[in-house]
Formats: sequence, C-alpha cells, structure tokens
Amino acid sequence: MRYLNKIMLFFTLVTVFALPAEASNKMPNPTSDFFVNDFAGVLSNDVKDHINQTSRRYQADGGPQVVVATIESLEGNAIEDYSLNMARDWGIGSKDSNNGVLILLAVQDRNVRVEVGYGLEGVITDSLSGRFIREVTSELSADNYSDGIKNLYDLVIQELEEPGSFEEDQGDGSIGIASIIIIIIFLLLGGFFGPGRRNRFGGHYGHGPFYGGPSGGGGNFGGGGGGSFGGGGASGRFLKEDS
Amino acid sequence: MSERKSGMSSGMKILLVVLGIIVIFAVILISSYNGLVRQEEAANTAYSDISVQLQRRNDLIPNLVSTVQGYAAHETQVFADVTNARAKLMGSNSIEDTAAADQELTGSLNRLLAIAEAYPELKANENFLSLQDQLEGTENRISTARRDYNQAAKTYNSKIRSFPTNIMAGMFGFDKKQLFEAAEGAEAVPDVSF
Repeated sequence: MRYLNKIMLFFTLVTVFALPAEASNKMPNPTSDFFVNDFAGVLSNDVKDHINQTSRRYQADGGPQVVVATIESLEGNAIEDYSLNMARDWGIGSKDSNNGVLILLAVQDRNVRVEVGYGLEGVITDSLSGRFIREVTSELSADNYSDGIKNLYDLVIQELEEPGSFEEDQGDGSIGIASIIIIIIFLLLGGFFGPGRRNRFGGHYGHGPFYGGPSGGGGNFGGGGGGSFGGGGASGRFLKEDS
Repeated sequence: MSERKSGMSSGMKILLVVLGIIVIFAVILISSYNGLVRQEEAANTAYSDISVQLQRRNDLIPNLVSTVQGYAAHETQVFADVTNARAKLMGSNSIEDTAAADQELTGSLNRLLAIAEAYPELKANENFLSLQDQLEGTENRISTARRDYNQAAKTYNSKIRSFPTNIMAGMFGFDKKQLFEAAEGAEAVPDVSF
C-alpha cells in the first residue's frame, strides 16, 4: 500500500504542476468604491460622488455596471490592452449579461478609452463610443478631467438608459439611418456568435441575477461579476490645447 | 497480526493493488480526455471569434474605401492594396495564410487611414469618423480574439505534449493547433508611406 500512496502522490504532483501558470498582471486592484477608481487623483469629490451614486443606483435597479478608472500612466502599454485587461481582471458586468462598461483615463498618455462589454456592444457601438469621446475632447485637452470624465460618463449612462437617445438629440436624419443599418448588421452578426457563451443582447439590462449586486440593504458592492469583454469600444487621444 | 485478522493471502493483496492502479489510471485517462476535449473546444471557439471579426472588417471595407475615394480619388495605389489584401484574406484557407493576409490587410488599412490625415474635409466627415471608429474597434477586436485564440491554442498544445495526457492525445488523434501568428509584429511597425 505504501507504493500506492507514492503513485498517488506522484500523480497529484503531476496534476498540480501541469496546471497552466496564470499570467501575471500588475493591474491595480479596484478601490473599495469599485465604481470610481481615481488612481491618478484628478477627479473632484463631487464628480466621484456623482459617479458612485449613479452607478450604485443604476446597478441596484438591475442596470449594467459602469466603472470609471483614472491612471497616471499606461507604462508603455496600448490603452486598448490595458483597459481590456483591467475590465477582464476586475470582472466588470454580470457574467450572464456581460453588461460592463469601463471608462479609462490615462493622464500622462493623454488618452481615454471606453471599453464596452459583449452584452452592450449593440447599444454602445464603437462609433458611438468614438463620438462620445470627441464630445469631451475639448475639456480633457484643457486638463479639465473632472468635467470631461463626468460628461463622458453621463453620455454613456444616458445612452444605456435610453438607447438611441444620443443620435436623436443630434437630430441628423442621415446618421439615424446609418445607425439603423449598423444595428441591423449587429443583429445579423449577433446570430453568428457562439451559443451560450455570450449573451450579446443579454436580455438587456434588468433581468437575470446580478453577481456583484447589492447584498442586503445597500451594503458592500462585491466588485465585478465576471462579465466578458472582447475589445469593443473606442479610444481617443486628447492633445494639449496649446501644443 | 493484520494477516490473521483480514485473512487475505498475499496474492489477493497484489491483485487488489493492481486493480486499484488500473482504476486510478482509468480515472486519470478519462478525465484527461475530457479535459483535452474541453480545451480543444475552447481553442475552436476562440478561432471562430477571429473569423467573425475578420468577416466584420471585410464588410466594413467597401464603405470605408468609397468614402475615402470621395475625397481622395487619386490615391489609387492604396485602394488597390486594400482591395487586393481583402480578396486575399477572403480566399485564404489555412490559419497561416489567413494570419499573413490579415497582417497585409491591417497594413494597407493603416495606410488608407493615414491618407485621411492629409484631407481635413475627410477628417471632419462624420461618416468617415464613424467608419474609422468601427474599423479601429474591429481591428482591436481582431487582435483581442487573436491573443485569446493563441492563448487557448498554447494551453491546448502544451497539454497534448505533457504526460500523461500525451498518451490520450496520441490514441485519439488530438493534433497540435497552429497559432494565429505573423500578425504580432504588424502593430509595432506602422507601415506608412505617402
């Protein structure tokens, strides 16, 4: 029987060492607020409170998780890679609906990105993300990060609450038609996506269990729920005004 | 003392040990087989993500080309490059060919977008900006999908080569997955010519 134990130990060790080593990432952990992570320290308290309260209320109503993060530097990484890693690492959005959004500001790189989870790619399209960013470029260029991020955040929230509202406000008929075509393409593409794994139009927001949802009476928000991201969204540079 | 109580002969003991080892092996082999199937499936799913995004980019290109043509009709070389690379990508079958064609198309599309820098009217065109956002978004999705696939394929490949799963892989014909490569360098070297 001693040999049997040894054999079993051997296989246990083989199994343990055969496990793929997890890729190391030096992503900062989300703050206890989770929805606002002002690592660069550029947001005013009012804006932080606004984002925190809105995102909490929004999620309590069963809506998507919208998270804001500011960092000093991307440390040489592409903002697309950095924000994707951050969004995946933090597990923003619910696992069922993949309805997370990450707004990432890299101050020194003068770069901003809206990272959109799979489940919301049909609502916050790439071109819409790009237009939102262009809407706030002037504020960000003037180093007015608080207002720029707040406006960008509000644009995202408004679009999530009322899909299509941004286009309507712009009142441009031709763009409206273009967006309808884009949405139809999205719907068609949605049909090709793998079964089960992604819920592209995840029953919209409001249904299904919410992983990191409010546990008890407005207690601690347990962080992300493990939503998937595939690189949807847009990024944009905001150059300094006087340069 | 134990011999008297259990009353087992040593032959019986050996038989039990052998049986036990066989059972353990069977369990290990079955679970490793299932693990292999799961990982192969994960790699296949990741690959189909690449295909979906490549297709999506292919669908965007005609619109983008005609928009840029409206402002910069004489840049015929770039339009030809994009059209050729797109056709090549659509006609490629193996993973290697697809990866090479993808890299070529990304390069020519970068040149196409670089042209826009020289045409302020085009750069201000909302339709062009929207197409540009969509193209950049799709390029980003392709590189994400490519990385996810390569990751899945590497995990799978190392699994089918390591003991004891390699026995399983050999018996049931699990083949090594080709990585979606050639394109990794494309981002580092912006291939821009005027």
